[in-house]
Amino acid sequence: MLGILLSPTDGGTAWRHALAPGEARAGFEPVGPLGLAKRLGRMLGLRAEPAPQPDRLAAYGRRIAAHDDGRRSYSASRAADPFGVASFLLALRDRLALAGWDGAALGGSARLADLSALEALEPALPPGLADVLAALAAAASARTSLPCPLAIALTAPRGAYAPRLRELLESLARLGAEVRDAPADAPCAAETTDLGRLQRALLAGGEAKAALAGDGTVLVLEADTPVETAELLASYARTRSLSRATCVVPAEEGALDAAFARHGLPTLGAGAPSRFRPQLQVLPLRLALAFAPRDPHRAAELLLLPGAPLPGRVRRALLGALREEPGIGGPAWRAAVDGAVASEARRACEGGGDGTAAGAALRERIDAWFGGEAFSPSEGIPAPQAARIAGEVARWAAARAAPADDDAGEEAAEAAGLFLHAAAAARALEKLLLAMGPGARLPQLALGQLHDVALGDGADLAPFAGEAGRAALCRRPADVLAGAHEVFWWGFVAGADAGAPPEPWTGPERAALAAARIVVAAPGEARALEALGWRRPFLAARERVVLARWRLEGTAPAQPHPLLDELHTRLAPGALEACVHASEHVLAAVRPAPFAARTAPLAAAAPVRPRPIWRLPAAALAPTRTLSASQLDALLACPMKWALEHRAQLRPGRAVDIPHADEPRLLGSFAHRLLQDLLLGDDRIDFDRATPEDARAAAARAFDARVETEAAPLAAPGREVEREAARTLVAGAAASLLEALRAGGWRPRAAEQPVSGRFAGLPIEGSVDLVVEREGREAVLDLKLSGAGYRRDDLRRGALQLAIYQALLRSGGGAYPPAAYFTLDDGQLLTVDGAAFPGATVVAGPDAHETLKDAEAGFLYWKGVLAQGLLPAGADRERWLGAIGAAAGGAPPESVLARKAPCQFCNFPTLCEGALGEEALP
Amino acid sequence: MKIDVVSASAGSGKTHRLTRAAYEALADGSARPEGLVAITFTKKAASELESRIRAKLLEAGRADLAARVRDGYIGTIHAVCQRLLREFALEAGLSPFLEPIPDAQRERVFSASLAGVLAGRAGRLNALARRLAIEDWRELLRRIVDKARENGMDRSALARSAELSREGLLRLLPEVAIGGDAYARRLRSEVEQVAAALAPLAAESGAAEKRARAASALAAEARRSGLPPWKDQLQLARSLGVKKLAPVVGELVALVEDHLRAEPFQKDLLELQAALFQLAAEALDAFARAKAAARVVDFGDMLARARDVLALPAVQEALRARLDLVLVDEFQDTSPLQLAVVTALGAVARRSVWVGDRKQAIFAFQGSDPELMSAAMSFALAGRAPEILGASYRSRPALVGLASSLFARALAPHGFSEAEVRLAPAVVDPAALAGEPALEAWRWAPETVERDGERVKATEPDAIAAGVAELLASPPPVRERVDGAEERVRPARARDVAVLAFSNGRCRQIAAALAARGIAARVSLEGLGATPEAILVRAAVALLADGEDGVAALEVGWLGGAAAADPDGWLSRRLAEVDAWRADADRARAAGEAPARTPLPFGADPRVRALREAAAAAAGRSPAEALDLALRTARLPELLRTWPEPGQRLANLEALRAEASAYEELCAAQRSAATVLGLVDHLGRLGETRETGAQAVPSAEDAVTVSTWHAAKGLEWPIVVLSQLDQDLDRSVFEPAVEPAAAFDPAAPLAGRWIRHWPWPYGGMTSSLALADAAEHEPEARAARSRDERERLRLLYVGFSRARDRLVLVAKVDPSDGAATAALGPLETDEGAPLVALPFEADAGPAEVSVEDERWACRVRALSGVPPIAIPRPRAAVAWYAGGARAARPRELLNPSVEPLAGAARLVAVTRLAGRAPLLAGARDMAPVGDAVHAFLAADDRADDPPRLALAERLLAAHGVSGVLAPATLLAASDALGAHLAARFPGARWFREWPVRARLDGDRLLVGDVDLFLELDDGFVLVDHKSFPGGEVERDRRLAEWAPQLGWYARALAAALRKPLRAAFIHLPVRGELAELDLAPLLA
Ligand code: SF4
Repeated sequence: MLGILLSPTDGGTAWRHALAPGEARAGFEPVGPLGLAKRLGRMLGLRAEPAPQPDRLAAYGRRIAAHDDGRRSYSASRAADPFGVASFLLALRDRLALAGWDGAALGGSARLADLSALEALEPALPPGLADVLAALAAAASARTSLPCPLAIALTAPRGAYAPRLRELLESLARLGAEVRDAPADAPCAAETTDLGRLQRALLAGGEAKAALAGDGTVLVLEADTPVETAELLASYARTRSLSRATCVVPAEEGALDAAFARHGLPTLGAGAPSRFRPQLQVLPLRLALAFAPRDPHRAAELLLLPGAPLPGRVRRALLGALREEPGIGGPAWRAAVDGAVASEARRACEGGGDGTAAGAALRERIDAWFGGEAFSPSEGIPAPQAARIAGEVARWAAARAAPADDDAGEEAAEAAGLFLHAAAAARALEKLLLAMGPGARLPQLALGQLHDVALGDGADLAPFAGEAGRAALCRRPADVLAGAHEVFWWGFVAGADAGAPPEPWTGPERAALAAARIVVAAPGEARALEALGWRRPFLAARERVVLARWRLEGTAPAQPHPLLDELHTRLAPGALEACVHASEHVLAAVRPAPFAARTAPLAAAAPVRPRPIWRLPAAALAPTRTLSASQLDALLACPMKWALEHRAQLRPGRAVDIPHADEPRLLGSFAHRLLQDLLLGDDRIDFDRATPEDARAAAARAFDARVETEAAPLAAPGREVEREAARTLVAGAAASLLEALRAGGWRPRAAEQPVSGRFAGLPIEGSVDLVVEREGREAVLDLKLSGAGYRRDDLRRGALQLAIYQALLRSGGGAYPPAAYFTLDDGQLLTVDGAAFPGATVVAGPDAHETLKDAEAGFLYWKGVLAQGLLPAGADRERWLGAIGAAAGGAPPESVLARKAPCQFCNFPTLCEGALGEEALP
Repeated sequence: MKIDVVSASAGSGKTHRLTRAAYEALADGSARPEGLVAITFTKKAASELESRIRAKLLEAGRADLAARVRDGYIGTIHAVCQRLLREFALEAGLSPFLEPIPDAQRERVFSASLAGVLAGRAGRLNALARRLAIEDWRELLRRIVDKARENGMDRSALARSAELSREGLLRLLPEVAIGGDAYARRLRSEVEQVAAALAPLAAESGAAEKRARAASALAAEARRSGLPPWKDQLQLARSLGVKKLAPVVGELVALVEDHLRAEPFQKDLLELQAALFQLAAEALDAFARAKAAARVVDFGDMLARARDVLALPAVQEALRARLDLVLVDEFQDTSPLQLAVVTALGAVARRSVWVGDRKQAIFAFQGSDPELMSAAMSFALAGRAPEILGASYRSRPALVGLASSLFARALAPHGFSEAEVRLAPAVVDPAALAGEPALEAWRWAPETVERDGERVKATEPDAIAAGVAELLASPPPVRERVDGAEERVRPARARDVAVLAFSNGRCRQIAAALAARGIAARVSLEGLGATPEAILVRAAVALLADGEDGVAALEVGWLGGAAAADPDGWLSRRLAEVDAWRADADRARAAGEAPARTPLPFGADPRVRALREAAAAAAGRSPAEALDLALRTARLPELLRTWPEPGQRLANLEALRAEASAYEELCAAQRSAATVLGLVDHLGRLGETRETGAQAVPSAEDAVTVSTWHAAKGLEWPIVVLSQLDQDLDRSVFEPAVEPAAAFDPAAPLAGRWIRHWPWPYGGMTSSLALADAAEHEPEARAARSRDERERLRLLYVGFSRARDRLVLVAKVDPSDGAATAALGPLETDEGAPLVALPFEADAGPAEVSVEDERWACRVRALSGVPPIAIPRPRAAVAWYAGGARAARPRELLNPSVEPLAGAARLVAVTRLAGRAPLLAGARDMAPVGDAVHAFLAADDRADDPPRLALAERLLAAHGVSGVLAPATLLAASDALGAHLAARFPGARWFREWPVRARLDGDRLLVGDVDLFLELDDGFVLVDHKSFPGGEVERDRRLAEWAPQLGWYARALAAALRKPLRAAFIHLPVRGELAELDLAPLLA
């Protein structure tokens, strides 16, 4: 005899309690509708498996396309959302099929008529569950007997099973199968307990209102957040034998398992499918890179994805290029590719292989991921091209899924599974795209929709799949089908139990369906079952039921579960209060808990306070190595920032460091390059003949030609205003710069010219933005995006960077070359040397010599401070001035005091007052 | 169609009335659950109403109906519209999966469409806005667009608004007296002269220097741009009002003071005004196009679409058959567009009940329009009187009396009848409350004290904190509701007190002042992204995504407390590490080797290390799951528990977790990839908009609620403290505002409305400006002022009616000026005399509050607003759940194919099955062939019912291998096996593809199917099919590998059948062989 336990849904292990520990049963199987179909299929020799949903959706979509003449009930909606409409109609169709519809013509509404017209079309629709059940019923009817004796026990009232399934059960019964109804509910907990009283109150109904004593057989555990609630439930679960329990987990699986893991309990491994597993992001990221402008952030996400394509060293090089010039295909990117190819070739040679071939192969791989044509997001990509990309990703993912060596571990096995899923999704997309025909073109959004179809629900992942000893598990309260010693209902809040959507049929449709003998549920039928289902955890528990609920969902208050209303009406007023144990009470031990929660005192955290001064080993702070001019500047402005960046080598993450469109450094460095190249690059203007207007036009052209590859965030859709402003700024700056140079008779000579020398006894180096020349005399120009006011102040107190460049550029003790800032946004030169730069804004300030002298004094001051192992943070001046002064034997010189710490451009505000006000800190 | 209007004053049992309406209709069958619509203001209110209806039905024994309450449309207007749109998507030609996009995404789409509209035009607007001292004209534009959307306006309505606004503005402007060029020229020359004249005087005084600098700056600006900002001109002119300068500056001052008549000024104003309306119209169109292209809608669209859908005859017909009862709660706060929807629903429903209180309409600033509401209500009533709920179930008689008397008088001139305002107390004071005053007046005086050499000022937040502390020190009795009905009296606790203030900023200050006195406060805070916990969580996630992120490692270490004991040592170690690496790298370079990479920072910190190591575990996780993993790995919940205000920290953790989900939803809406790095970026950008930056409000602690007056609507507390009474809440007539239509048209409630906007060209300047004076006298301004005054009155009503047991008013009392109570300004008689006499200046102790000749007992407290001297309180250890040791456990589900089993099986024999040739499967992919063979062997009982050949054909076709194998070969394979086994085990019962379930020792489960077993009287025979096509050597290796799988099944079967295994075989149908294995060593 084959005994089947049939529940209305598939999945879960609540059936486990039907077996005694150590018991084995042959010919016993707990299933849902899908499991039943599979089992019967094997028995009856049918392949009883529903086709993958994307295939079905695509096929139905094609039917709708063939049927749509623009006047159908769905035509207007379809124009707005073709796949949405296909999936909506297919869901209705499957609903009807499960209700017993066999495709006969329907009236009652335009959409029913359309559904029946669609049903009549060819080719055959890949089967869904309803179709499989119908095929099985047909196969059963064609037989005279069953291959083996069969008994099917239902776990829920018949109404909980779809009519199509009920029909199948009837045909099986005709062949001799025994179909047993679910047993009537009866209280199973002792009458003297709260649980027993509650069970009886639920079953008896009527006036009697049970009072609860708070004996611990009914527990309501609650806390503000799921994380705390999980801790509370876990601390309770530790006092119980989990293998005797069933746990209902409709939501917040991760939080619960995290707590179980922390408490050393076996984890449940309950998880929901997600479309956002890293392996499933490779394809959408790759597809995003097929559209212009290629987004450097998306590229970085792809490069840093776990299991990303390309070897680590190549990824590192490409990420470096993205940081330098955010875009794909610009000089930095090309250099990184060339470098990676060259080193690949070298490695291959060293390994005795063919270096050229290896290099070429790598170049091809990089190109496969980041190259190819970039299409306009609105005009779209031709379907065959997109299909090719999907196919490539599918092949790559399938190769990644290939079994690694045997002992690769569970994580590798899990990843392999996910790569398989990724490969399947990519294949599905490829198929969908190929079916569209070679002429089709998909805007980026439409491709995204298609990808959604191909991906379906995404992939499941049991993060640390159910461990031995865990509680039996189910997702809905109604699925607690077997009695258990105790039942935990995790997530006893309305938000975790959305319930089924209401029936979609209108009155006239219901009438038409009834006439066609299609049994759609009567109003309220589904809700009545739902309400019955909510009682299962209470009725199935023999010793205890534990409800766990939280008060907050995100920042909003969580709403109580609807069953609570029923509990309130069945119980004496305030009865449930005796059962509620809130985390804060348990932790404060203010209320006797019916279980011994293991708590431990934690010392209050030592306050994390911003520290104005640090005391560190002098040797680790001493500036002994070559300093760059900008480092020196940084050191003078904020020794803390300098030390963290340059001595402690603390850099932001590789993707975090790629600037966005709204960050000035993006335009700053792009504009620098544009202006430098305009004057000195391969496509430079003819400096002698060009008019400012020529320069303006050339700069605008260069901007347009290069923005997508070197400053792509500015080229992104939606950034038109910034782009426009940036272009205007660069073009205007080009014209002004040309004019300003002409006015002084200067000619450009070199850009980014490296210079080196010594400062205060230390080697120092830097590169000058622009070296210009007049009659053999050089001058320094430092380009700045903006901040003329700030520069003016800088010049007023002595512009250190300029002075350093002046000093380093000066040949053998001659006069200092003149120097000026050029601020791009307002196109002015700022200098202390009005004579050298006619027309410039002249600021009264010290000359290079004085500036350097001051700076040297400042530097030596800091050096002295650092030599004592003291490191102050620039911003908190008031708080360290005294202490530092005392240690250093005097207040800092003016050159130090006049500088403001560059906190807006600093990564370390958490350590000083920059980010956290004192009261915000623990 | 019938619409009942219920006027429900504060505390008069509004929810009760709604519940009763729903219950009665459901119970008497006049409404079906799925025919019930109930529109509430918040989700919480919806959930509460649903719960009350359900409970009432259950109480009445109607469990059948109670279960169905969920089928009704109970929710916010947005939720109800979303459901309507989903149900009627096809009729409306909309996507059936219309989800409103999250606000952050909406903002992005809007910015993008705006960007498109502005491309190439922003320059001109920037210049205009600069001259008109408008800091953010985009914000202004956005407000106009929002108003247009709230009022369902289209391009033509905006064009009309532009026209009417222009007319109004022109009325404010005098005739032009000086032309454009002339003005600019004169200004330039005058200002140059003034600058030149002032420069030499700069040294005279600070003021002189300031003047000189301003003049030269204005001159420079005039040179550069032609015309400097009008505000700068005016400010300079006003600063020059020094007598002795008159000869030099007189001309300039006169010119500037007369700028209203300058053509360029008027042109600037009119051009900006026109441009904003023009851009608004275009942006509205572009935004609509962008959303259509992206196939998304926002909340506003949902309403507009719902309104349109409700106008379709087919939908109306369907709804007429369905909608039995429409309940609308808080009707007065329905926005204009919402009103359109509600009216349309009312038109098709059999019956509607609109419950609201015109006295509590306080959301005009968010677009709702109380006048429009009043018009709509009187239309719905069509001359009938509204039902008025006339009793207060909330407040003590004294509080009911005060509010009734005060507001009946104050509201009377605004068209409120006595009956609409006055409530009768429905509850009498319990004995324990009898002698307790229901009112308190708290006063504090401005003062400054010296403390540690610093001057410390008294503030209202500190005075309030002192008052609350005093109050709670000897807590007054309050009433507590038990299960909604019963009342008991107990001393007040912190959670019984609410303090209301006007601004969020003030709420924060009050909360801080309370905290300084050790009183916990519950307040909605913004700035989630800037909290240390958010920085820490983001850093932890960043480290999980990129172990090389040094800044994240630093933050995890620093905030994680790794540095706590010895911060210097902590950082020193990193410095030393880098120094050592540098030396090594130098050495390597010298030796011509490649230097090693920089060591990853803070590797010794257990949190940092654990996060880096968890990268592998994160490899399969979605961003939201990765965040959870980061929390767990870095043990952040435990850590936050040790911080001050742990409840707030942990609640914020939940807010951050919700942000992770929001990020995933955003990506889903955009149909783009979601990655952990994307989440890091998202968390980094938190706080850019108000919605995403909100902190969670914990509820675990016994805490005072601090809230805005507006947010208090619909809520009640035993004790309510009203603060910020010194605020004057006037709004400027120069802000964009919606003007009503000349007459209300119930069929088109929004028709004729228009947006008025007169740009304000002087930034923060307010005093003696001719433009403002001109505006004062315009009818629009008068109307706006009176609207404003009514709104302020209503807000006061809301504030005065929140308290159940005690109402406290706080005021600053300056000995010379008396009590600062500007906010109570609207509570006055027609003659402008105050309606209420508050004893702020009376001696501390018992006093009275009076309205005309009515009096109520009041207690006066005199409080100090000087902050307490901060005493650092040592923080005690806190309790948290103890973790447990983690044991290595196998997975519960035992997979027989990979689970090892001790011992080795022995190959007994391999038999070639009689009459069997190997299946020559020429397929490239053997897997489907194997599956087909397997499926056939499972189903074939060799009885030819139904016909076996057909079965074989069907299965081959189903597995897509029809041509690959002849169906007959399957029959032959099955026959050969059958014959062989039947000969060897005659009389056995056969079980094909038989499920086995076992609960094994160690809490493991075996779940699987046995391909075939034969049950004998004294045992069983196990057979497993393997469609293996390879050669003999490989076969023998595989047989050994497969043995444990058979071993597990043999064990389970032996237990299930309680019989021993007699023989075990692996059937190789492709090779036509049967291998017998001796499993005994595996079963021992
Ligand atoms: S935030 Fe400011 S003070 Fe702090 S380290 Fe950075 S630059 Fe220095």
